Amino acid sequence: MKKSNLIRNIVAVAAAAVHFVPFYIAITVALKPRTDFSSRWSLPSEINLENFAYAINRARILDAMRDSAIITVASVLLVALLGAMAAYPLARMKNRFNAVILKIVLGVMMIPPLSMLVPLVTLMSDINGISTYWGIICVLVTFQLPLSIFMYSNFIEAIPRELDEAAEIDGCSKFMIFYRIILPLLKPVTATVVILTGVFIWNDYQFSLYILQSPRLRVVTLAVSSFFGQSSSNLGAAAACALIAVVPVIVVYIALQRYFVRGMIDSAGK
Amino acid sequence: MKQALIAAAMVALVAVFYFAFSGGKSDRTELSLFLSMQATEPATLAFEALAEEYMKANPEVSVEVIVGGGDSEAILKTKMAANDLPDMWTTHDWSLMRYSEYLEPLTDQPWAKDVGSMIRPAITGKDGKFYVLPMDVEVTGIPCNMTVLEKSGVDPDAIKTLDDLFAACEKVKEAGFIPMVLGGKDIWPVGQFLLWTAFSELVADSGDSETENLVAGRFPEEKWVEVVGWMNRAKERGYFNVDVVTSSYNDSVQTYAQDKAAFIVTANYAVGEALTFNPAGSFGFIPIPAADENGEVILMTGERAAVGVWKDSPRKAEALKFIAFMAQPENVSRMATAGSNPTGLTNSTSDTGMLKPFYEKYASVRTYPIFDRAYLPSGMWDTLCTTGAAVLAGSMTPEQAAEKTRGDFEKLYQQ
Repeated sequence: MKKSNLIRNIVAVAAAAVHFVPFYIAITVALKPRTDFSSRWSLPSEINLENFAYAINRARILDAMRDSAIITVASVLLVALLGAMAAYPLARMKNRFNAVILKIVLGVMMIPPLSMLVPLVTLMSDINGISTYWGIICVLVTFQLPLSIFMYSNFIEAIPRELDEAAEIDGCSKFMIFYRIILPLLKPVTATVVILTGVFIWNDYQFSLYILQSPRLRVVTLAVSSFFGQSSSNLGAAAACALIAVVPVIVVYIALQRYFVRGMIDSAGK
Repeated sequence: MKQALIAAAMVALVAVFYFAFSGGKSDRTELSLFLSMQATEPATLAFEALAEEYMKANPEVSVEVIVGGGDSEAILKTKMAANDLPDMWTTHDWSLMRYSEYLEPLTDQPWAKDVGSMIRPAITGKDGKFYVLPMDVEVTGIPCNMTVLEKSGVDPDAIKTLDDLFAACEKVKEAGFIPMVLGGKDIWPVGQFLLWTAFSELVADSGDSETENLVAGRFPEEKWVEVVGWMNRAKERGYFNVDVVTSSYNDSVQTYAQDKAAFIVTANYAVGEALTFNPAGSFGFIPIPAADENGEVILMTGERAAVGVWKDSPRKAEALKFIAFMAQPENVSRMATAGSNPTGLTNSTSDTGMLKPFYEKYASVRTYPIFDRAYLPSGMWDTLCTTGAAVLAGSMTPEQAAEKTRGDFEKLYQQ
């Protein structure tokens, strides 16, 4: 093996090991009973699945994963679709009005979301959006749309206008141009938007904590946090809960890794 | 094939959006009960069991138990600001100071006459009203590990003053144990230590109580230097765990449960938590010592499983019926037993488990409401915790901490 390859492999293995450490600690903590005071680095002497039972029965992590999946899929679809549709006119019709709109969109991205928490909760309560799928989806989509619009508009600006003009000559309406010509070209940036917003929404805690109150509708982050209280915590159950919750994300990422990486490279290339 | 895949994807999408944007309303009255607890606590399980029983007996009502977890306070504060509160919630020692303007007075409920004398002062406002059903009472002394005290040759009954406590700490340290374990990363245990010394110096001080001055808005800054000074001296003498600033409350309970520390700086509920880590452990508590020989030892009492009703709840009448159900002696007894606490109502009893002999031994010790709730303006708890943490970290002297505390006291007293 070449020396450079050897060094590269050693660095890769070291990086992988560093990333694996939190998972390793979570596994050892989750597999030990509460009465086991051994180091968190040491493997359990016998497998204890009580914490996983807590995660499934008390935190109802499987229900939480279903709810998280519904919220994530619906939100990501809306963010991608609405983001692309909003970005197209902003990128193509260069006038002062659109420039101002784009700056406002950028400006909204700078506002810390929690700074408007109280009015947001009040509004959601007034429109009966607390503890509903549509309520949390609306909030998450609203706060993720600016990033999506920004990325799509930058990408669309790099697509030659001649494509639009050719389609127009062939009789396409503006919507048909977007739907038939532009949208198929947005695959690379869509991959990036899906990854960024999908991971953010799956991991969201700050909005879910305040918008989702009912135990009938809870996401994975709330399920994990239910094992922490001020005067009592159950780290083993929380670790088990987190390990179960992370499985679908890993599976999806490994299954679609090829597309994501290609999408990001294509997106960067543009 | 491609078309079939697209069709399948479309069906899946429709299903997702159907789940996401549909949802029927139940025709049952839906009550919400918010618990500032975590999911596996015995008290949480007891609340859930009571709710289940109530729903069985009243099929037209649904009681949804919401486990707030570690961010319960933040959730309730936000919901107070949005004026959208649960129908009922546990008030974790704040029924008067923080929540009273949102809670329905429960003084005229049939069970109100049975509220015990131990908890009554802690939950009753100046106007004589109280706002919660206290199903149990949190009695707080200084939790101790009996095994460690025995191995160190310390007689817990001989600890009457803070000097006695420090002498005991010295013995424990010499025996190779941690005298006092404190999880300072979570910051609130720091405030807990100051509650002890504040009681000793300002409330239980022999003939020199500062309670009237505090209630009248006069802050005894010089005496507060002494309140914080005890913490500073404990730190300088090495009575705390070495990771006092960086360890969490959970870490401190594990240390205490493993027979490594004599005292833990929290409240008596740490004993129940420690027993889940070490069921064979031997734990107890002592009253909070006096400042000197002429002072009195005392115990603090506060709310634990105390539930209030939102005064603007559209389901207030149904919520009050549920509260009446929970106030039945057998239910109060179950709830208090789950938390190993004395009951809050005189018509019920509870099994306080390992702490039973201690409650009996200290039955005649005078009890006071938690210091900051009774004598400091709302908002001072944060000041106690942050200034205490700064002293522990060495970034503030006791004098600076007292000056900062006086400033905050005067500012908040005016509000």
